Amino acid sequence: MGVVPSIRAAAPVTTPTQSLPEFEVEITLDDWADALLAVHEEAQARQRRRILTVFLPVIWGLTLLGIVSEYATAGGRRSIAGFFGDLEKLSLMPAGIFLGIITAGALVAWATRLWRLRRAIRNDLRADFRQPLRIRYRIDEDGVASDEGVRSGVVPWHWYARLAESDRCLVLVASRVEEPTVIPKRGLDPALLRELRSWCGLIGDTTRPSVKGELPARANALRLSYVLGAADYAAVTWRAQELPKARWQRAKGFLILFAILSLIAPLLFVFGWVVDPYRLPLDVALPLFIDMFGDLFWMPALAVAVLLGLLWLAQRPLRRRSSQAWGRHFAEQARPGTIQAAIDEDGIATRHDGATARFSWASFEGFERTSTHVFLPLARGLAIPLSLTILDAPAIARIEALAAAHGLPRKVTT
Amino acid sequence: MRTAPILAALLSASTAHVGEGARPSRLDLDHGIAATLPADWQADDEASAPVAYDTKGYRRLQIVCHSESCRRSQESCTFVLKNDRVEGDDDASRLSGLYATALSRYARLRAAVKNTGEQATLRRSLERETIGPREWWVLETQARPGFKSALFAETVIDGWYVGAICRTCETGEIRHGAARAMLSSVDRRDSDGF
Repeated sequence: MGVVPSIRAAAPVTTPTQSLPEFEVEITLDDWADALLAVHEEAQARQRRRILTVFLPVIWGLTLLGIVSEYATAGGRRSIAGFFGDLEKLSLMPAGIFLGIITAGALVAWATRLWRLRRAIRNDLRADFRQPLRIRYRIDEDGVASDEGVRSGVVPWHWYARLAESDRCLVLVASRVEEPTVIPKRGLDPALLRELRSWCGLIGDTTRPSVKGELPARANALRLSYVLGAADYAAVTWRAQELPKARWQRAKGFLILFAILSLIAPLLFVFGWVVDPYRLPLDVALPLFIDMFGDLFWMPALAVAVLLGLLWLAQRPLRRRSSQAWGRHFAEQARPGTIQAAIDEDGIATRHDGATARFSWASFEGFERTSTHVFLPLARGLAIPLSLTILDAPAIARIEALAAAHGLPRKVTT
Repeated sequence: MRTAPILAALLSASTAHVGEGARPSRLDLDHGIAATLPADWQADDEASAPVAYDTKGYRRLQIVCHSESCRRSQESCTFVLKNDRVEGDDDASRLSGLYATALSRYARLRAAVKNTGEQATLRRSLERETIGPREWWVLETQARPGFKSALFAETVIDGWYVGAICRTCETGEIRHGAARAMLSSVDRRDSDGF
C-alpha cells in the first residue's frame, strides 16, 4: 500500500437486505487522516491541479518574457522573427536552469501534496490519537449510531453526502461542515463490509422520520435552543486560530518564510556563480561569499525581517477579518435548523435536524469563556460554541460550575 | 580659435617625450600625476592629444613596449583615470574604500577574469601591495595558452583614481617586471625630478 491512499467513491449499492449486528472498531490516526483527505478531496484536487495549470504556466510565461526583454534591452532586433533568428546565439542556460529548478520544484510539490497534507493532519491530531479511538457502531434505517464511551450519537442518513473508500476504511462524508463517520475495514468480516456498503445506499435519504419530543435529560437541565450564525462560526474560527498549537504553527511559518526570503539573495548569487561563464574558482569565491553575509546579504534579510514584523503586527486584525469572512462562509454552508441542547450533571445532549448527540463531561477538555461565547472544547479540534446572547449570567455560572465540578480547566479571555 | 588645443597638444607632447624611444620618459597622466615610461615603451597618440574623458568619465592611455624582448612578450599597459575624485579623508582610506565590500572585490575579480578572456584563471587574487612609494590593489590573471595574461593595479593619488592594466604573453613565473617598474614611478608630477 502506498503512502498516499487512493480515495475513491464507493461502488453503486443495492438496498440493504438484513439488519447489521453492532460492531466495534479501532480508529487510528491514519484512518482519521484518510477520512479528512476524503472530506477535502475535491478542494485538494483542485488546488493540486493549480500547481500545474496556473503556477507553472505563469512562471514559464514570466521567464520567457524576461528572456525577450533581456534580448530587446541588450540591443536585439525588435521583431519576433529577429528574436527567433537570434535564438541560437542567446545564452539560454541560466534561464533554462532556473526554469528547470522551478519546474522540478513544482512537480515535487504536485507529487507530494497529498503526502504533505496527510503529514500535516497527522501532526495536528497526533495528541488526540495516542490511543486508537474505540467506537461501537450500530447501523440501521435511522442512520449511524456511534458510541465512543464519553460521547455517543445518531447521525441520520440525510446528513451524509457520499461514501468514500480508501484502502484502510470507509468514510461517510457529511453534506455540511461536520465530522465524517470513519469505519476502518481491518478486522471486519467481508460479508459485514458488503452489507455496510449496501446500507450506505441510504445516504441522502430524507424519508426517515425525524426524532421528535423533548431531549432526554434530567429535570433540572439547562435547556437551550439556538441557531448557529456567522458570528458563532467566526468565533469558532478565531478560537481555532488562537490555540497555542496554531499560534506556534503561525510563528514557525513566519520563521520559515523569513529564512526562505532572506536566502533569496544568497541563492540568486550562488545561481549566478554556477551559471557564470567567467566563474571564479570556489576557493576564491567562497570566502567572499561568506563575507557578503556581513556586508551585503544582511540588508535584504533586515528588510524581510522588518516587512514580516509589520505583517506580524498586522496579521491579528487581518485574521479577525478573515475569521469573520470564514464565519459567513461556514454559516452559508451550515446545516439549517435549530439546535436544541440540554445541559445537566451528566453532560450535554444535543439534537439538530434529526441527529442526536450526548457528550459526557469527561469528553470535554475545558471550559473557555470569551467576550462573546462560552466554548466547551472536545477532542479532535472540535468545540461546542454557546453564544452569550443565549446565556444569561446564571446559565453561564451553572455551566462553569458543572465544568469545574468535573475537573475541567477554566480559561477566560477577552 | 584653434591655438589653445594645438598649444596643449604641444605641451603634452613635450612632457610625454613621445617617440623618443630607447630611454626612460615621463608621461603626464592628468591631475598632476605622471609616470615614468621604461626604455622602449611608448605612449599612444592619446597621450599627446588634449586631455579628454569619455562619456563615462574615463581617460585611457595605452603604453606599448617596443623593445627586442617585448617582441615575444608583446607587453603593453593601459592607464585608466577618472575625472571624479574618490571620496575619503586620505588616500589610504580612499584606497581601502575601493574594495571595502566583498561584493566589490568579487566584482573586480570577475571583471578581471572576463577582461582576460575565456578560460582565464586567477593567478593572484586581489591584494594590497606596495609598489614604489604607493600602495596599490593588485591582482593577476592567467590567460589560456596563446593569449595575454594581465596585471590589474589600482591606486589613489590625492583623491584621483589611477588604474593600470598591463598585459603580457609571458608565461613564466617572473612577469610584468617592466610594468611594475612603471607603476612604481606613478606619483605626483611635482615629486619627480623631471
